[in-house]
Amino acid sequence: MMMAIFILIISAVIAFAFIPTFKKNRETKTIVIFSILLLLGTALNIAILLKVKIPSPLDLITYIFSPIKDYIVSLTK
Amino acid sequence: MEKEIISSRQFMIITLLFSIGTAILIIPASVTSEAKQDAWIAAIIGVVISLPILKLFVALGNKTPTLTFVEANEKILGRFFGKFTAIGFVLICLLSAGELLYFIGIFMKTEIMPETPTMAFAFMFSIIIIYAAFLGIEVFARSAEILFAIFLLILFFFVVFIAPSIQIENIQPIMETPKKSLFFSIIRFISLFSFPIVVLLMIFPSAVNVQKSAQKGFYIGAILGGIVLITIITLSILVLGPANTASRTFPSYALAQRISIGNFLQRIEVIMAAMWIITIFIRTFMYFYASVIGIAQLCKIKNHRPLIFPLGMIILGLSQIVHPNIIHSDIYNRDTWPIFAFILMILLPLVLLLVAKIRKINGNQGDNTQCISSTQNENGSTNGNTTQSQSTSNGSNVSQHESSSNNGHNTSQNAGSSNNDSSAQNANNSNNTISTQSDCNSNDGNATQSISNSNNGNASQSTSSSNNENSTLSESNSTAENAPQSMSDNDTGNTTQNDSDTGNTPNSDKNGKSPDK
Repeated sequence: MMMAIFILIISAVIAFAFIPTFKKNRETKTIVIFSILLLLGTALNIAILLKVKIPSPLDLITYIFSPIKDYIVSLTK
Repeated sequence: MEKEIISSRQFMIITLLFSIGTAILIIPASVTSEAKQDAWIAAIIGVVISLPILKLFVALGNKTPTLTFVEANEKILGRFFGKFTAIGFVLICLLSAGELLYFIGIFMKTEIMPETPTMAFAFMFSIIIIYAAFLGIEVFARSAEILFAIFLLILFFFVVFIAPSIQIENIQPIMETPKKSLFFSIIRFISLFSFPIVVLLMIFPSAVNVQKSAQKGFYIGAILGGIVLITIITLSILVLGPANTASRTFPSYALAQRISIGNFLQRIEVIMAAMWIITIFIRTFMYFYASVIGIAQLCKIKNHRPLIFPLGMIILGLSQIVHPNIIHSDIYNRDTWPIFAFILMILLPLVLLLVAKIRKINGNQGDNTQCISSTQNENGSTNGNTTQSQSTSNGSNVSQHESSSNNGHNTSQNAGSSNNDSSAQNANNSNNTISTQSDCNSNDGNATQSISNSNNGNASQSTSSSNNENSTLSESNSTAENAPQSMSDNDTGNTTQNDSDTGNTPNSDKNGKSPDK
């Protein structure tokens, strides 16, 4: 729990360090993308620290490519 | 965003260490598990096969000399499909960066500090990666030069110290494996060794100062990296034996544990581990940097630096979830990764190259037409380089100069090397008195000049023939208006390039020469 708060503090510091300069330069697109990525990263890290089970993104890739792999293996047999 | 340029020698070193990468740790096991004692043959064939792959990457790089791989996607395939494939490429980079952080964590946990959670190692390592990415590719390239010396030293001692424990009967019988398992071994080898080199296309044509010698560096670096891998694979078969090598997770580390010189010099495997920590650092950084630059260019953000921190957090998180255990990672690297990497790292560049051929996209023509666009500086900085690398491009450049200036003298000089070209361009700029273009043009000329200065020095370092050409042509260059111009430009070149260590000495060389002409 403490670590989750720590992560939140780090993210807040990063956000406060960068977003004002974007605002000054009127880079709305940068703010949006920066915030999305930062939210993703924070959520991911907090979920890991709270030991939430997250499926590996590579499982999805394995699922997509396993038919091709099976086909190649069947060719060589 | 300021343009960051690395020298071709630094690029060669990055290629070398990048192609070794994680492969040095895990490749002996995955190759040996299929090909048994013939794994070294599979490795040699794999290195030979990767040469046409390198040729493919270089050909694609020459098509779009000023763009990174992600930008090339959008330019060649159009906005919609290009975005689609570029997202795929950025995704594979991001996932691989997370995977490599996982590797460094699991390696330290299983072999050196079993009580510490992998998160700690991944966190420390990601701090280094984030810091390096924040400082930029130039600083990273210089650090790679320093690390390369350490790497070579450790590799040398590694090979020398392990040599006494070689047992030649481990490798016999030779050529016994069936063709099928040899084929699978080769696939695994090149999928870890040469497929990921496409990531270097994010920096190869656009951020390297001399393209011709960088191409050479591309080949040399990859081949030397392959030789290092062949050496490591052969040594682990010779010392550990094929069955032992195949059953280990990290055979190179087990190999280092075998070092024992007269029962006195032993247990130095942690020092040897510095070798793959260096290469993994280089490879993780390149993946991470490619994904940062890729996302910035996908979303058309000018400054990529702010994205580093959020993405650093994401790869840190990814490193904890990509593989629940080492079995998962083994299966993934054996079955899925070759196909995944083949589609995004070989098929995609091949498609890009074919489409570029069909659509007749040639990098240099693109440069000339894009002169007014916002990426002016970038185009200008590599303009001289491209003319140097491709002889056909000279034709188009000549025609451009003819149209832009009425100075017949310049056009006749133009057919030469990049040095000549850039000086001619400067002369053009001095002739041009159009107010709207003068700003961008002078910028352009300066950029070309300063970069071609450092180019010139580098080229003369590597190939003497091009140097000759330069000097002969610059003799014909001696018009009254060119000499003072080139001198002043040399000065600016010196001041701008002062912080890069390679560009410095050639510049001062040239400065000394230029009043003589």
